[in-house]
Amino acid sequence: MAKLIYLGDVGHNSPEEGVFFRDTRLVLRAVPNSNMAEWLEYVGEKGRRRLLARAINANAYFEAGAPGKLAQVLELLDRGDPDVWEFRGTHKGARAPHLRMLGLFVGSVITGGVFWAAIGLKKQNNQLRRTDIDSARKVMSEWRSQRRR
Amino acid sequence: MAKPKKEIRPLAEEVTQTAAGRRALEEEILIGDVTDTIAALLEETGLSQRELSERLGVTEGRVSQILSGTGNLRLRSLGAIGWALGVRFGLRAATLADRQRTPAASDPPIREWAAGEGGQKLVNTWFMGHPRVEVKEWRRRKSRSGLLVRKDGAVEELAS
Repeated sequence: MAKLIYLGDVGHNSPEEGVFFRDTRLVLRAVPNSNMAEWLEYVGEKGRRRLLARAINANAYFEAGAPGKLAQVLELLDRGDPDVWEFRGTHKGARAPHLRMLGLFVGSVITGGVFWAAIGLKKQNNQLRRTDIDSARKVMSEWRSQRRR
Repeated sequence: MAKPKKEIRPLAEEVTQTAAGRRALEEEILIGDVTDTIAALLEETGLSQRELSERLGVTEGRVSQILSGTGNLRLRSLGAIGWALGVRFGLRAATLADRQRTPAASDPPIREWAAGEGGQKLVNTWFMGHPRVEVKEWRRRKSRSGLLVRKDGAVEELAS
């Protein structure tokens, strides 16, 4: 996972570009070549409010040292190159639409870190498909290759 | 020519611009915390929703509704879930760092002891730092708090 990170060069023009949430332990940031800006617009104000609430929840779980609760929001979904993490914008048992973001988490599930959002999903069905994971991995792989050039 | 990229704004900038939005956010945060706590407890104990419903004597649908955060969860039901899982829930209040667009925007911050966990910290700092203060003196001076704090840090409620 760490091999994706080149300090000081993440493909953004400024340290705050692409950041849509920042608190003491957790940062949510869009992968530069992703369509997260469009997705955040697409989910509407209610969706954005839900995402913000979940991010605040996750930050509080980091602060409180509550990994069981954190796992309800942020979880490693699929090991690979790179690993794919999931950030649940709506909790597991919630009614549709289900908001999820797939991407890369750089940091520690104990102390906190940055979640790089590669794709966002708004689904009626709570099941993830293999193609969703592959899409997220593809965005992250492209990001990596762009930064190697 | 490449299309100019859409700018991403911090979620909080937009979502909390109105009092109604701010209120809805605080509701969402609490619902998320409660449902995450119950879901995490179920995972920790290895209990299924069905088993929890059996322990509570309610339908599985009701448990599912609780975990979805959509049904109105009564405090009494939450207490019952704690009973069924063998845990006791507590409530903690922390002053919001930013209270803009809340009716409490100009209120003074709440005192730490009222918030829950901070109380013991306050007691330890204040009382333990003054070893000569006798319990009776403490009682006289701080009886308005309704708490009696012993020298070993134990806290008792004062009889009215």
